[in-house]
Amino acid sequence: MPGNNWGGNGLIELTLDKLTAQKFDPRDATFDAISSFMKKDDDVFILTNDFNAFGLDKIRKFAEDRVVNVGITEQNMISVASGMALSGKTVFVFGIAAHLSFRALEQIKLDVCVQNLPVIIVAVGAGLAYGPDGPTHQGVEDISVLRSVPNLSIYNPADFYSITFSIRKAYESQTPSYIRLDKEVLPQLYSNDKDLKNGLIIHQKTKVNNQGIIFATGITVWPALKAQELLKIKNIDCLVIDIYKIKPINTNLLKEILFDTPWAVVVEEAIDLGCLGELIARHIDGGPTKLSSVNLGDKFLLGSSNREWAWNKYGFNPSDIVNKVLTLDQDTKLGDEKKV
Amino acid sequence: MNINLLKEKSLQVRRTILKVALSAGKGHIPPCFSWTDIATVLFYGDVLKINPNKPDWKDRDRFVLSKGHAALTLYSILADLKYFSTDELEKFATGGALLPGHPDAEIPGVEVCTGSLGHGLGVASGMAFASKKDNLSWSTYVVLGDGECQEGSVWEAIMFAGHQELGKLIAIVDRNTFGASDSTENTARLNPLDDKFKAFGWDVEEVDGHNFNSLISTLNQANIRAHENKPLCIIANTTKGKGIDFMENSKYWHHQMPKSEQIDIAWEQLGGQWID
Repeated sequence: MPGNNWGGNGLIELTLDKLTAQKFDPRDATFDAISSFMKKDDDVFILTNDFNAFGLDKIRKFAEDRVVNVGITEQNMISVASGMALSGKTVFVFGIAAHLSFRALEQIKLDVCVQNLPVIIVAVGAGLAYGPDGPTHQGVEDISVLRSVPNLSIYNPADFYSITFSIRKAYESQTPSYIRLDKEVLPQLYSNDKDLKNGLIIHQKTKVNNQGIIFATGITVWPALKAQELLKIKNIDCLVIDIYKIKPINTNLLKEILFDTPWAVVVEEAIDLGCLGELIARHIDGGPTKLSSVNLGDKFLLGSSNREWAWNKYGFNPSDIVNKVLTLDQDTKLGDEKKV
Repeated sequence: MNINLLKEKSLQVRRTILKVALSAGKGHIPPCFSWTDIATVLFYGDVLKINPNKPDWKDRDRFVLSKGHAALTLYSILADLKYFSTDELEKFATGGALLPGHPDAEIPGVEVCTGSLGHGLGVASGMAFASKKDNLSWSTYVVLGDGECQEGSVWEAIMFAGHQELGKLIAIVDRNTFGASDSTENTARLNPLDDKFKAFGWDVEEVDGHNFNSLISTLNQANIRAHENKPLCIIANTTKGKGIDFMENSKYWHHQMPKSEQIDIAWEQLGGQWID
């Protein structure tokens, strides 16, 4: 890692106390951001498939005719958004991630992305946000599927500032975007958006070479950060990197960061195939980094898979991540000793 | 263009379709022929407000060919109207060519990428909805296949357009009664199609899709009809493969190419000659 100079990416000071000090609702943050555009731009519309939110009602108070509930018709909602975008509108589409990404996949691909239109899909229910509701509602395969669609940007933010930043970037880009949201009230991680420009946020306590990295995205950033604290107590300094923008991912920066990284753990509430872990593996590309993943494997989660249950089962808790890191760290050191 | 010229133009379009398809060894001739008379009246009969010199003219009527597999009809007309060079027709579906088997929106004059069925009416509804919101003058025309109407997404769009009272949306269903391999009534019955549209809040008119007098009258009045708060569905009763007798109303003719003596018969019936 030459000089650890990562173009202004954050040395964001963060403590566990701060993690629990302030919380926010991702949907409120999102609609407050969209509301600010709608007040300035009469061509911004919101479509929803009968999925409501407090923030939507707030917008209805000043732009009732631009918030359109199209009924439970996901495919048509995306097609209509496309037709509106072709006619000069910027359209935010609001619904549940699992339903929009799969039911309306072909509409997203053909009606929106082929023509590179300003349709911004705000998808609630990232990962296991709807875990107890079963595989019909879990959003654990959407990234794998949507990553394959050209022209579509994919954001997975889980902090007030990374959410509002993502919404703004999507609006300004006037290109197809998919922004995943958790539905829980979340701890606020950042105090501003000045370090968000590169699509990822590096959490780093100290600057030393040969640090391992915990990659996380969405809600898994905070157990990753907690694991970082616990590892510090065990004299292991590692980075945590919040990948809030999954596509296009910041390839150059990732390659630079991974250049001499001994180990990396990828923590994500997603299936194993096609998600962030695969992306990170591609960026290691023959380098020395030993990679390990914490994810949901290659199967459906039947029954009521709430986060507490799933995190225990699949090892998402900070102590599980610590154990994973300790094993990797030990393997790496043993490997180095053998080389000597 | 008067009715006789329209008929001659329609025949010319069919000949172009046949020639291009035979050259490429590819194309859906019978589904093209079933809506060719409709297309001729739309594009040459002063129905669509368009300007080939300004394909992106903001006040143009929008036209969406939802049954994208019948693209050769549209391509033949757009080339004839000089949206692009007729040379492009000769390269149809070859590597790197402008014109693929199904239309995409990089082609001048094409508004929407279609070919996967069940998308065009939803997108057209979005256009009509935006136009209505801004109180604009242009209308949106969309041609659907009847087999396409078996797609659930079409009925989502029909509900939306009816609910939003999109009076400037005109959907023309090319009712040739066939899907790709069988009659629609043998697979997932559509009849009574008119009553279904009406029940979803649309006005419905039925027309002989090969009768030029009826087509001219119906299409020209489509935009000035009484119930302006309702979208209009024109069910155009057509013949799949119209113009070549051995293709007409046959479930075996969808994307096959005529061979040997069939080619001569086809040219003879279209009043033309195949020059390889």
